[in-house]
Formats: sequence, C-alpha cells, structure tokens
Amino acid sequence: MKRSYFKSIGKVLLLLVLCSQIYLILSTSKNQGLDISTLFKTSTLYSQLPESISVDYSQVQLFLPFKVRIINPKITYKNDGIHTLKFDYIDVSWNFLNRKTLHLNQWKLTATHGSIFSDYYPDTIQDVTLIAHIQDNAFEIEHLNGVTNDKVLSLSVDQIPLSNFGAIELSNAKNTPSNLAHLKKTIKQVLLAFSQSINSHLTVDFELKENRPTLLSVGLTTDHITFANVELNNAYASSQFNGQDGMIFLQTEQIKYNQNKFIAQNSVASLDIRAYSLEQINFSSEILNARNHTMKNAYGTLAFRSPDSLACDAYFNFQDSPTKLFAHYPIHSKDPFQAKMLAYIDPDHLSFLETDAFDFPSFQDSILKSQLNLLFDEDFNVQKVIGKLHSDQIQSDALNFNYLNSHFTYIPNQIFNSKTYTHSKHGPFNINASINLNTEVYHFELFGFTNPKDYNSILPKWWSNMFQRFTYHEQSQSQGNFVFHGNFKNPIPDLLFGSVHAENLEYKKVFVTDADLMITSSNLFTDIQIKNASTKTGYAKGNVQLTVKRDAFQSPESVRLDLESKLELEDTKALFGNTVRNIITEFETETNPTVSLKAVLFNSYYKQHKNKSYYNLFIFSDQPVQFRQRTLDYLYADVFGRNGEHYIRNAEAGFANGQLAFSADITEAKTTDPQIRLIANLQNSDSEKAIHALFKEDSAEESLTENSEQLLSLELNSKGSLLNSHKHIGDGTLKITGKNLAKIHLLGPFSKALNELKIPIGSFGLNELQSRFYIKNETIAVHNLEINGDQTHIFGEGTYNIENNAIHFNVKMDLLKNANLSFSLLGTIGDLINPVTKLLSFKVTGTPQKQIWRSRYDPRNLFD
Amino acid sequence: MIQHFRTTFLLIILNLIAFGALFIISNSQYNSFQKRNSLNSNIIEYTNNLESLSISSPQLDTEIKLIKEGVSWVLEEPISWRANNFAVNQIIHQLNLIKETLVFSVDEIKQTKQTLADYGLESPLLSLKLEYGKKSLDIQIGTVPTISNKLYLYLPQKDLIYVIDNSLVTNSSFALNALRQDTIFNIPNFEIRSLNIQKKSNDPNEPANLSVRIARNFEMNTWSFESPLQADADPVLVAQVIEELTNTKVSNFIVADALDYSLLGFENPYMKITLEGNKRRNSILLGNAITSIKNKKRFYAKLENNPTIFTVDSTTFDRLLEAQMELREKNFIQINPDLLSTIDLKSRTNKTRLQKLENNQWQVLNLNTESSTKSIQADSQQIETLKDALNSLRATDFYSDNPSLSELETMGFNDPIMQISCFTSDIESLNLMVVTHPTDSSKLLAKTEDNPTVFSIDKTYFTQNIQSDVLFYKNKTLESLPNAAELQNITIEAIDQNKILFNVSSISESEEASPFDLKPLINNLRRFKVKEYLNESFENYSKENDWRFKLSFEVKYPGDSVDKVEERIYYFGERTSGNTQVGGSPKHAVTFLNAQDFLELFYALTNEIPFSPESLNKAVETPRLINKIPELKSAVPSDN
Repeated sequence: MKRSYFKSIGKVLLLLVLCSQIYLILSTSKNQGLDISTLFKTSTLYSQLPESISVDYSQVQLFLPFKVRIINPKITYKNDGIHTLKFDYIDVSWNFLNRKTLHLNQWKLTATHGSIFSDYYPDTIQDVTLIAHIQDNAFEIEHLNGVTNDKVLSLSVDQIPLSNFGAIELSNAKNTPSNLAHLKKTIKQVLLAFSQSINSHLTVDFELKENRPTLLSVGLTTDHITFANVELNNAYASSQFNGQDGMIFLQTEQIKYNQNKFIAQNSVASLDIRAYSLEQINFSSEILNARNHTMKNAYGTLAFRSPDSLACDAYFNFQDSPTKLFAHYPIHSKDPFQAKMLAYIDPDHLSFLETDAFDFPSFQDSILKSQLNLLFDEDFNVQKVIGKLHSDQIQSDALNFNYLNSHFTYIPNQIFNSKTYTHSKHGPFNINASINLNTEVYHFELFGFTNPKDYNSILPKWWSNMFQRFTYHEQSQSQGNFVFHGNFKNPIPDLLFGSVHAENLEYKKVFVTDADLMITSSNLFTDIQIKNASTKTGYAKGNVQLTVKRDAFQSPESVRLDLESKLELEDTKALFGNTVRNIITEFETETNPTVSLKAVLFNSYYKQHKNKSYYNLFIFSDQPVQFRQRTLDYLYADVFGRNGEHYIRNAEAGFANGQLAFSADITEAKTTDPQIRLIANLQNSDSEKAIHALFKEDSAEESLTENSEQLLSLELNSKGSLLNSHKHIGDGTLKITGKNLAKIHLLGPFSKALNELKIPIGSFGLNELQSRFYIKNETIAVHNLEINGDQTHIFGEGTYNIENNAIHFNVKMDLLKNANLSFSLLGTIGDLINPVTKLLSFKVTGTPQKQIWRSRYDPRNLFD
Repeated sequence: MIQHFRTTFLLIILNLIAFGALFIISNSQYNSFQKRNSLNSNIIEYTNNLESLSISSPQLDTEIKLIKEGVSWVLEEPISWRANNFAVNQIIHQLNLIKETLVFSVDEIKQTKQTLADYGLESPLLSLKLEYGKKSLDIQIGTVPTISNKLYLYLPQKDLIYVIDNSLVTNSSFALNALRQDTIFNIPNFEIRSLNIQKKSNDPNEPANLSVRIARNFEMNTWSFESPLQADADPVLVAQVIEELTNTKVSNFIVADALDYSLLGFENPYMKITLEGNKRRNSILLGNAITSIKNKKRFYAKLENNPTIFTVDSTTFDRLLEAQMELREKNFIQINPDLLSTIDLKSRTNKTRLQKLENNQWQVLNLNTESSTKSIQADSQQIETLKDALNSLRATDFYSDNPSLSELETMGFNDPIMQISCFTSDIESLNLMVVTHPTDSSKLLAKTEDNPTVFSIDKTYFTQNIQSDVLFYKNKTLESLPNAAELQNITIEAIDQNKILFNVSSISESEEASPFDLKPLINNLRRFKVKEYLNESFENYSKENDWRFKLSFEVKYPGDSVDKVEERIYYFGERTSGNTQVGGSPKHAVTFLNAQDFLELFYALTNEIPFSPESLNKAVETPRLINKIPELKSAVPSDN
C-alpha cells in the first residue's frame, strides 16, 4: 500500500515534470526561449546594481542549461551625464559548473550589436560588443567595443566595486572635486575630439580598485584628430595613468599647434601628467616649423611650470647649426617672450647683416659659438637679440682670426650694436659697430693690430683705396685706430679719422721700417698726414690729400701732395710716383737727396681742372749724383711741372770740379718723343774729367789725372729730343785753358801724333782751345777750332758724329804764329805762301779716342 | 521488475526525451539567435590584446614575425632587430578600421560550387596571424580583387569571407625594410641621460681602453664628464652628438654566415658606445673598419645582446675619438651676476674691492696698503662689463688638467698677476687666478679654485675688461649738473693759436644762429662722462704736455635773488687717433680720455680739415706760370 502510494506519487510527479517539460518545450518554441520575466524580480536585479545604474528590458529568457538572455535591455548609467547602452539582448551566464561552490553573484554578461548613447559623446556608438563580469560584487568589463562611422572605441574596466561604484568613478579617494571636474571635462573634450577625428581607434582600460589609484591606459590611433589647439595627423598615442598622474606616449607624422604656428613632422613625444594636468612634454621631431623658422632633428622638453607659461629646453639644427634653446613661452598671452639660445653657427648665417655697402665675407671651415638672448613676438618674429659670439677659428679668404669674441645687440630694422674682440696673426684687434638699420647710419671704431687689407673684401671700396699702396709682409705690423661714421646709402663715410702706426711694410714699394700716419676723410676728401715714415736710411713726411667725386668715376678727382723726404733715390722715385720718377729717372746716387714736393694733380677725366695740375719739386743732394753715368758732385734744382711740361730752374750741379748751371724745359712730355730745351753753362771744370765724362771715354784706357792743368768751360744752348740725343739742334762754345793743353785728353791722340812727328811740343806749348760748335742732330759741327800756345797756333774745322763717334777734321798748324814769326802775319798772301801750314796740314779721321792723322800731301812719307 | 515500473519507466523515458528535446531546442534557440559578430569585432578582440603578429606574402622572401615587448615591437624573424613601431601600429590601425561590405561563409561558396581559389585565397596575397595568449586569428587577403577593386578577406577560424576595401594594403607597408627600425638606438634622444664611450687606445700613454662618460644633470640642465675627468661638457655639442647617434642608421645588414666572425673585430672592439635612458640602455660595438666601394669608411657593428651584425658610417663615431676634449665646455665660469655682492681684484700692484651697496649702487675701495682706504662711487656700466666679462671668459684651450701643486707653482699660480674673488652674500662664489702664458704672449692662463683645470684665455679681452686699478671702475661721470642749471658762454679756444674756435653766449642765441646742433654738446657738458681716467693728475700732466684746446663755460644756478654762476674749464690735447683724445679738468684734478660721443662732437667744433677747393666744389687755384726758356735763336750755319 505504502509502496503503491509512493509509486503513484512518483508517477504523478513524473507526469507533472513531463507536462512541465512539454509546456516548456511549447513555451520555448513559442517564445524562442523560456520567458522567465515573471520569475525575475526587478528589485532583486537592482539590489545587485549600483544606484547609478538602471536596467530596463522587455523580456528575460532562460536557455538551458544555465543561460539567461535579457531581451531588449537598456542600461542607463547616470553620473553628471546619462549614458545609455541598448542591445538586442544580453546573455547572462553563470559559470558555476566548474566551481566547487555555487556563487550566483558571479555573472558573465555578453552582448553584441548594441548601441551607446552618451552625453559624453555626440554620436551613437554602434555595433557595440560587450563582455562583462560581475564577480564578488565587483563589476568588470572585459571588453566593450563600438563603432561610430570611421571610429572604433574599445573599453575594458577591471574591478569596479559595485557597492561604491559612483564614488570611485574614474579615480581614487584623493581626488579633489576640482580635479574630478577637470578630469571629466577633459574626458568630454577628448571624446568630443575623438568624435570629430578621422579613422580613429580609441582604447581605454581602467583598473579600479579600492584604496588604490586608478590605473588607466588609453590608446589612440588616428589619421587625424584635433584637441586643445593641437592637430595630429597619422598619430599613435598610448598612455598610462596611475591615479592623477600619468604619461602619454605619442608618435605622429605631423603635429600642428595653434593655427599652424608650430608644425612638427615625424615626432615622438612623451607627455607627463601630474594631477590631471600636463606638466611636461618630452619630444623629438624630425622637422619643426615655428612660423618661418625651420628646425631639424629637434628634441627637448616643454615644461608647464605655471598655467600661463611653457618652459622650453630644446635642441635642434637650425640652418645646419646645432642649437639649444631655452625659452619661456606665454601660452595664453600675446606678450613677447624671451629665449636663450646656444648655437654653433656657420658665420655665413650672419650674412643678413650684409648691406649694399658692406659685403659679408664668405667663411670656410669656421664656426661661431653663439649665446643669444632673444625676444620674440607672438608670431615668433625676432624683436631683439642680445648675444655673444665666440670662435677659436674663423677664416674667410682674407680674414683669419684665431680668436673672436663679440657682444652685440640686434633689433631688426632698428639697431645693430656690437663690440668685437678679435685676434689674428697680426695681434689683437677690436671692432665696435653701431648701425641704425632703419636709417642705415653707421658708426665704426676699429683699433688694434691688423693688416687693413684683410678687410678689403668686406668694407666698401674706399677702404681698399686708402690702403692699396701698402704691401704687408710677414714681419709687417700695423696698429691702427679708426673711427668712421656715415650712411650705408653713401659710398663713403661722412667722416673717417684714424691713426696708423706701421712697421716693416712697403708703401709704393718703399720699405718703411716704421711710420705714423693720421688719416682724416670727410666729404669725399681724404687727408693723410705722414707724420714720420722712416726707411732704413731715410725718412719721408708730409701730406697726401685725395679728393673723390661722388660720381661713377672710380679714381680720385685730385691728389695733392706736400711731401718732404730724404730717401734713397729709388725710394723717392717709387714714393713720389710718375711725376718725379720721369724727372729723376736718369739720376743715381748712393746717398739720400732731399726732395721736397708740392703738387696738385687732377685727373684728366675732370675737364674743368684742365691745366690746373702742377707740381713744384725741389731736389738737393750735397753728395755726388750720377746722371746718365756722369757724376755730378752735388745737385740742386727746382723743378716745376705745368700743363704736363716740366721746367728745371735754378739748377746747379758740380760737374768735373766745375760748376754746372742749367735750366731746361721739357715739353711734349706725354708724347713718345718729349722735347727738351736746354741752357747749360759749365764753368771751370777739370777739362780732362769733363771731356772724359762728356765723351764717355773708357777710364780704363788711360787713368785720369787727379787735377788736370786745363780748365774747361762750356756753354750750351740746345733743343731736341729728351730721349734721343741725336736729335738736337743748337750751339755752344767750348773753351779750354791751361798749360800742356796738348796733353789734354781730347788731344791725346793728336799730341801722340805730334810726338811721333818728333815735334818738340814743349817748345810749341799750347794753353788755350776755343771753339764754337753747332749741333744738328747727330752732327756737331766745329767751324772754327783754335788751339793756341805761346808760339803755336793750331786751327781747323770739322765735324763730330754723335751717332757713330766719327770725326772728320782738317787741321793746320802754324808753329810760330803766336811768336809773330809766321807767314800768316802777311795776311792772305802769307797764308797762301806759308809753307809750314802747307806742310803741317792734316786730315783727322777715326774717333776722338782713335784718331787717324794723315798729311794732306804725303802723309805716309812724312810720318814714316 | 520492468513490468512493475513500466509506466514509471516510460514516464522517466518521456521526461528524459522531453528534457533532451527541451535542452536541444533551448540550446539551439540560444545559439540560433546569436548574431554573427562583425569583422571589426573579431579583429579588435585580437588587436586590443595583440602579442604577436606574423606576416607572410609571396612578395616577401621569408615570413616576418613581430612580437610585442612592453609597448614596443621587435622583429623576431627573419632577423632579430627592433621594429619600426610606427609602421607596425599603422598595420594594426588599418586592421582595426577594416569594415566589411559583405560577408559570406565558406559553406555558402561551396554551395555555389566555388572554392577559395576563385577568391584568390588559396595562396593569398597577404597572410597575417594575430596572436595573444593561446588564441590566434589568421587573416588572409585574396589576390583576386572584386569588380569594384575591393579585396576578399578570409578568416579561416571563422570560415567567413569578407569583402573589404583595399585601405589595409594601400595604407600599410608590409616590407621588411619598412617594418625594421633603420636607426640603431631606440631610446628617444630626449630620454638619454648618459653617454658612454669606450675606445681602444693605440696611445701608449693612455689606458688600453679609455672610457669617457658624460652624464646629464636634469635639474641643472647640464652635461658633465664623469670620466676620465670631472669637467663640464658643452650642452650643445653633447646634444648634437646624441642627435647624430640617435639618427645614425644602419648602412647594411651583414649575413653572419658569410663572414668569419673573428675578423669582424668584436672580440676587442674599436669602440663601444652606450646610451642610457630611463631604465634602459643601448650599446653599440664597433669592430673593424672597412672601406666601401665609394671609399667611405665604415665599421662592422653590432648591438650588445643582439646577434645581428651590420655596418655603419664612420663619420659620427670618428668624431667621438677626442670626445673628452671636443665636447668640453669652454665657458668655465658660471656665476649669477645679479647675486654678486663683492668683487675683490688683486694684482701685483693693486688691490681693489668692488662692493654692492644697499641701494644697489657699487662702490670702489682702494685696499692698497700705502694708500688710505677711500671709497669712491663705481661706474655701474663698468661693473656690469666686469661681471659680463667674467661670465664670458672662455677657454681657448685646456692648458692642463689636474696639474700638481708644484706644476701650478711652476706656472706661476703662487704669484698670479691677477686674482679675482667674487662673493655672493659673503660666500665666495668664484676665485679666479690668472698668470702669464709661458709660450703664447697673446694668452693668459686662468684657473678657478673649484676646477682642477688650467685654461688658456685671450689676453686682450681679459685686460681690456678686467683690471685691478681703482680708476678703471671709478664712476665715469665726472660731473652731472642739476636740471635747473643753465649753461652759458661756451667757448672753445685753440690755445697755441690764441684763437677762439667756437663761442656762444647763450643757448637760445646759439640755437638760432648756429647751424650746429648744440643739444648733444650741451647734454654732454651737463653730464660730462669720460671714457677712462688716466693715472696722471691734471697738474702733473700739464707740466709735461701742452694742451691744445680750452673749453670753458659758465653754469648758472638760478637763485632767489641772484643767480649763482660757476665756471667750468676743461683742457684737451689733440685728437691722436680715432678714439683717443686726452682731456683734463683742473677742478677735479684729473686727466682722462674723452668719451667717444663727446670726442666726436668736440672734433666737429675744432677740426680744421684742410679741404681742397675741389672737394668743396670751389674754384681751383691756377698754378703760378713758369716762363719758358726763350726759343733757340742761333741758326745753325749751313753745311757747306
């Protein structure tokens, strides 16, 4: 009975179960699942969820074995905004089969094809996939993924305690309200930026645990995003936050900041976040553009030391110059900002200082270390630079410094002031410059040791003109001190004042051992005072004045000279130029004649000064001077140049122990055949020496008598070619007096002949020769040669050819004429019948040195 | 038994069947209702957690395998080398953005009697394998494009084929060269905190391996040598070296098998360079040098802990040979000039103290024993120049590092020509000694107390800006008249000519009468500044020198009833150069050099430049005529 009772009950139960199952089969078939909505108490669900989360659904279905599907769920999370997740369904499962104990509070939620509406995000996030867990009263999103247009969002959240969901939120207990507000604002801004980005993927991973800072990892990959005035193109960012602090690592092809004020290409950056605020950016960029400035391979740090200021410490290559920049950039203000820059720059980069009048030199293998304090305006235009430049080696074609130290101030379009210390092989040299870049007015001070020609390549033409006559050698030293000011618009300075002390240099090929010059230049006029210029043997002093016209003509309008020198003749020729050189070129001396020159020489380009050029030259030497290999014992002459002609006046010279006075006009001086008009008077000269000198006899042939007994006087009045003595005309007289005239050199051969004739010369002593001669080109005609002794009279006529040195003379001798025993005393008849003159009648040929005497009748018998 | 429980058994069977049916139905309902995940969801699951990425393609010689180490990617195959993170991330980014326009299963194509080959998927254009944990996802891109130039993407694990646009292929590069980092160091240059150079030395005087270490001080933002000596490094040059090193690229990768390893020189490397970053370091070993076909010198190289051998251009590394000299900081004095309170300058003849007063003015004290200590007002501009000059002192070379005491004595540092001590609030911030250079007269030797190095410095810059003479620092403003004072009867006289060159009795009169702008002159006279003081007193100087000009003027101080009038007289010599003209004041009993501004103003009033008439566009004088020698009168007799 009892057994049957239980059996029946069992059957009924089985039947009921069967019916239930059939019902469930029918129900699930009808509803596509077992609808357990009525069994599912909403209050039970809410008791498991934070207050800030509410869930709506249309149906709850159960699927075997232990799967629950919530149909059309709508999960709403409220904080300062409303965030709604909608899915077609959420699958809820309990994975307790693998557990030893059953925990109904360990759920897994899986949902796909959902959508998210959030106040934080303007667009609907679609195709949402969710995998979440609720374990031990903690909520964990293993994976939340959604898509909006071209953007993908991924979120994972680890461990939000459900009991304290709202309080913990995204951070930890240390958060102040302001920080939280700041964080939420930032999140909204980030999401808004993300929504407006192109082709982006955002991943956010939270790890939220009680009493520990929130760990947040955010990754962003985007083709383009703009956030807080920063535009990123093709960027990858990842970040790690630990509570309020974190770090963002950014890699991007292009960053643009503040309306393209900054553009960075191919950059890597790490951003330090402290208390949700950006504290520091470490960056590295292949190319960085700040307005018009391009920097390459930049890297450094941007530190936000205050809310308004950004401190920059960066390295970059600016115009191939390694550069470090320290700057404080006002983020929000438009005030100018300062930067300190250290750079090794190529001096060529200073070529912006070049002006029309100042050629910036081209440097080779040179480097300048610059320390610059820069003031920029908001557009990164340089407003002011205060800087220092250093170099241990700076060289251009001419300028070579082994030390340079320059301190300068530069305000674009306003001023450039500099104080520069240099050191070259010549010694230290300072350059102080002050330039008004607006008006182009400049002021320079140059002082120290230098070769002024080193600056020819950079300074205007007038500078090189001033020193073009100087030649510097290794041992040359030049200490100058110049101040000049003017305007770069003008070719020359308004005023230049300077002094130079020079040693061992050449001026116009004159080697000067030391010299002091004072140079003043103003209004196209330059006055050079040679205070004292010493050569090894002499000196020069005086003034040189140059006047230049403000026109296209390069050479000076005039040169005014007032010089005095006691120099070697060669130096004098070189120093005083062509004017003097032409005059004294035939002179030679081993001593230093005193030369004084006053001259005004106008360039022929300036027609208004025609015939205004002149010079007055005084030359004096109390020592022997050679003129065309003829010795002048002393020389004194005034030489005047007028209209291109030269006038020698008051000239006196010692010649062959006599006094030579002469005047000459050199005309047609600029032609190829200048002419000379000469009046010369030689008195009381040593006849032997004079004749020797005049006829250029070889002194080796016969030694000259120390003091001959005959005196020669000569008067010459001629005209002809200065350069060709064969082309002269004129006349003159020659007079030789003294005993033993036969021995005079001129008559040497003659006296020899007389000796050969066995004529006792002593008894027919000759003591006076007089002759008038005429010069016509190469021929000197002697019409009346008279040689007288106490008893004898020799007379004749003939010619001397200067060109071939040939003589043609007919000479007669009246042995006793001056003793009043000659037939000639009978007059013409006597001459005709005078047998002596007939017998002693000769034809003299050959040269003055080698005379050939022949009797007019039978000379050979006579001489043999 | 069965008989007895037949009904029950039947019910049990039916229940089991019903439960089975219910289970199957429920489960199939559950599964059938699950929607197919999107391609994007499938991929993102992997890319979000990606640990390894393999790439194979017929266009690649071998498979490329990349693994993630921290946040960086590393090439594992075909060579062990750092990956180009940007390029890898770009691939992942493009994978994340893939969107399908159509999806169908392999079963579906089979139903249409098509095969994977028809979609170019049998030997795909590109195969990617995404892995994390133990899960992997294969992605294959077909070689056959769609009619609209799209691509077929096949997920073998899902047996699904997707039609996608070609952005993945066009926007990413899968070539080895693109995925391989071409630079050698992978520490960002901004992160580097030290540079170590170990080089093999051939110099018998140096250790076999000379080690140079330069470390960064982040707080001070400076770099300094830690070995072989303690010295400051030039921050710009160090930054440049780091920039060059981090930008140094591999010239060629070398197949190790093709070379005799022992010949590469890594056993005793030529140089080892290490860059240290935040908790990481990169070291490169340079082996033997080789000369390429283009005559460019290169080194065999390898990274420490990496077997891959490559070559690098020698340029950057050769520059490091003399790093301990080339990278030294030459500005060896770093003081904050604003904080200085006292500067003592001691030479063999003078001892001078410059002292900052409470009103921020400076005074000069003569501390010479023979002279009574007397303070005078210092010239603020000169003090600024001094401070700036000290801070600007720059070594032209490093004369001696770590000299011994006896060596210092030999150099003369026991009796320096100048010793400068700077104090900041009574604490000595600088002690600089200067002696003559033993071989170069244009230089001096300088040494600070806290720096073991003796530096050579330029003599001219030093002597022109730093002196121990009291007069050098004396206030350059000789006299400053009150605003109320009026100037009158300004006269300049050429003494030797006894000639008045310039005279105005009152300013207003002169302004009207004179074309010369008097304001600058007046301003200079009101505040009479000199360039520098000379050692000689006015009286002594006047005994031995003649003054050329005398400038006198009257200063009228307006009074209540009667104006007070004082006379000022200054004497001046001739201007002897561009910036030199001696002046003297009997009132102040001093001689001095004129300040440049005044010198030029005064010159404009006193100069007598002998301008040529043509320079003034005046008529040029006609030269005195010289009478010619009369023409030759005597006619030469005829030649008969």
